[in-house]
Amino acid sequence: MMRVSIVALFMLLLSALPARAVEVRGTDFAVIPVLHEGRLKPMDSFARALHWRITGRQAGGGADPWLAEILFDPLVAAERPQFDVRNPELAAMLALPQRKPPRYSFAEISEGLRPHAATIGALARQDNLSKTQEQLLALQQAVIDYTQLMRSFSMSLPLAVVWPGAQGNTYLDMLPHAQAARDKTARLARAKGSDLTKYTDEERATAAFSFQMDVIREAADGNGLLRVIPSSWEPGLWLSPWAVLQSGQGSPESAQAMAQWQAMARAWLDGDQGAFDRAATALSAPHVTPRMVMERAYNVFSPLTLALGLYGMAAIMALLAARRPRWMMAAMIAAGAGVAVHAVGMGLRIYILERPPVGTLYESVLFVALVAVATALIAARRQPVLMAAAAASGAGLLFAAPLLIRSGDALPVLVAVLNTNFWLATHVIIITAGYAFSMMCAIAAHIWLGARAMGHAQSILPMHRLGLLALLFTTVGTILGGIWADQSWGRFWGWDPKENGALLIVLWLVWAMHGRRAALLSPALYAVTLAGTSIIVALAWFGVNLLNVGLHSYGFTSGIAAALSAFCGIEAMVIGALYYAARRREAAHEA
Amino acid sequence: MKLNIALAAGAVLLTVAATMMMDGAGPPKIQSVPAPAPAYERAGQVAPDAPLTLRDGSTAQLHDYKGRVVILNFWASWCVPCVVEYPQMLRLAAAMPDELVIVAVSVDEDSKALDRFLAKNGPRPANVIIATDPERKVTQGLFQTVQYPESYLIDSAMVLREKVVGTPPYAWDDAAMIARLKALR
Repeated sequence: MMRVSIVALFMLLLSALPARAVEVRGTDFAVIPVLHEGRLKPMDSFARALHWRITGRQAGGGADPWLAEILFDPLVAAERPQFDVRNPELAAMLALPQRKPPRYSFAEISEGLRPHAATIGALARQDNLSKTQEQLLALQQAVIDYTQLMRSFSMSLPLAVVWPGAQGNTYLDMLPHAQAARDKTARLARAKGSDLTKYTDEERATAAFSFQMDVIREAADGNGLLRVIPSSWEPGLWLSPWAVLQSGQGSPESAQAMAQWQAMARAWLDGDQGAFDRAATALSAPHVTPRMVMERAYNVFSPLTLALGLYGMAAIMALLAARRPRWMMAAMIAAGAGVAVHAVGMGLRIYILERPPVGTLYESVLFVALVAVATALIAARRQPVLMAAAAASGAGLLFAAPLLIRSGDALPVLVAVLNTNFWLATHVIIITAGYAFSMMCAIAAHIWLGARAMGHAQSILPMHRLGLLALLFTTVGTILGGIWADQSWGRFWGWDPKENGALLIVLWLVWAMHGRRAALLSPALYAVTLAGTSIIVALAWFGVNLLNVGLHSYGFTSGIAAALSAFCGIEAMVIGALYYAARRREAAHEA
Repeated sequence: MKLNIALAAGAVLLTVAATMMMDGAGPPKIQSVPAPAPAYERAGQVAPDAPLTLRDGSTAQLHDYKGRVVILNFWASWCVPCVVEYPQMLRLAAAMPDELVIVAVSVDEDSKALDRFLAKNGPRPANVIIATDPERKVTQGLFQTVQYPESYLIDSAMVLREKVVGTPPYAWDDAAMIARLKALR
């Protein structure tokens, strides 16, 4: 509660200046380096990640202007509606007015949170929270992040505090006079007590100044989110402006950097585009790397979104090709272009992150989508429905993938246990490709059953070959995983949920293959079994991540249980219905 | 069929090549921040030639002391750790009269308080230079020091070599510190 009060006081001390517009987009502001989530990244990525984390929305066109306003004009930013509160129960708890869209400002949210400080503190130590309680904690965290950003340059922003003799009206300008004012205030307190009515005007001004300087300093304690100043003394360390001052990391270099940041803040408030550009260039030029430039390009051109669009077009055109075959070429071109753009996107990710492309659940979805559509380009050249299904799946996976991004960071660093390029490039790539082939196999099996249900004769070869490919890759991937586990954890196999999941896919496919080979499964039942691979893969791929146990628990994911259950349930019903329809058609045909 | 086999073989070869390339690149960076040598050691960054206002009213430049090891100390008479380390610095200066210069920049606003403190601590060796910077143009503006004491160790070529925040782990006049400073020559 004390912290909230200090923040509120600090906001009152900021000087309200009529800010004029500065165009941030297209300037070097976007490539100023910032250390965030263990990685030095361009400001553009930092802004997007924070925008996502705080507002819950992706900033399609970039979030640089949004961030610049928070950093340089916190008074305006505090009043701008940013925080979505869609849960009516939470809105009522925070006494927020009803509004459409339900978007509220920092001032409104922090006022609403204030009476619940004790509750939030208690909830943070609890497990098994309700949805509303989880959202309350998330909102509190968003407010903390927002506060940190607003205070990042509070030492350099103009204040509504005046002190005679000071060089200017920022905290740093007035700092040389703070100690004397503090000493004088202490003497006054000893001599006259704390009753301000006994003070002269000058004494009151001194006491107020001392108090205000303390408020600004205390409001900055622990402010470490915007790490934009490289330490001159500890290699690789980047610090927030306040951390530089408070940890004694200052140097002539950091003084120059801080002067540039102050110039940029001033330029923002004065609407001086030229000065803003110059400061942005001065801050980025010494540190910017080709990787950061490419990362910004990745953000701006968003190849995965482009691929999503191309896959969608390919799916529609392939569907048209089922009736009019001349559409097939167009569908193949769109899918091929999508795969090319997707591959470029993945290549950029490899270059930017300096590691193989799959290290998180999100990245595995991106990779599966790529492999699935690329496989369809080869396997479904003459099968428009399979092409359409594969392209639609690719688009669907790319569309849903952002839901798996943690902390708004689409380019995350790896957890330490995955620190090996060899195994990331072999085991992970192969097992994930196995998931993709399994998915394609299941799609082909669905189509086979659907065709049978409509009375069309279809060869089982496409789904069978895809099944064999899936079996090969998942088996090799699982064995490689065991070897990695042996090297990393000292045992080949530990019946860990993730290991069991991988084994389950292998056993399922082996069972299906043997059933067909031994003629124990009819073609329709074989198709049902292969179609069911989708459920097994979903459980192995996502389901085990719901279990926060075992040595793979670093991949723990919450909040997808309902979606996964729904998928498995619907998929089982669809497969059952297709099988029933196919059998009925066969029975009618035989009769 | 031949095309399919060729494509599959191509994909396998590509995977093998990519794997070998990535494996050769060493482990991925968990902490992707480049880890260069300390900026000053790497670039031999020279300390700014700070203008100094000396206690007697005369002026000097920091680089006037080039050729000797310099301790650039920012302090104030109201700062307790500064008061503790001041006599140690005097003894250190006396122990290294020809090799060391201590430039002690006081940020005291109250010049009388500074005078009283200096008088109380007796005479200073010639290689202890007292400068004043009440407006903190050098202290804050050039060296970004806002907490006291802070000291920069500058070698005889005026290259910034080290920074001591607060008081060092051992006394300034300790043999270890003297050896450390001699190594900066």
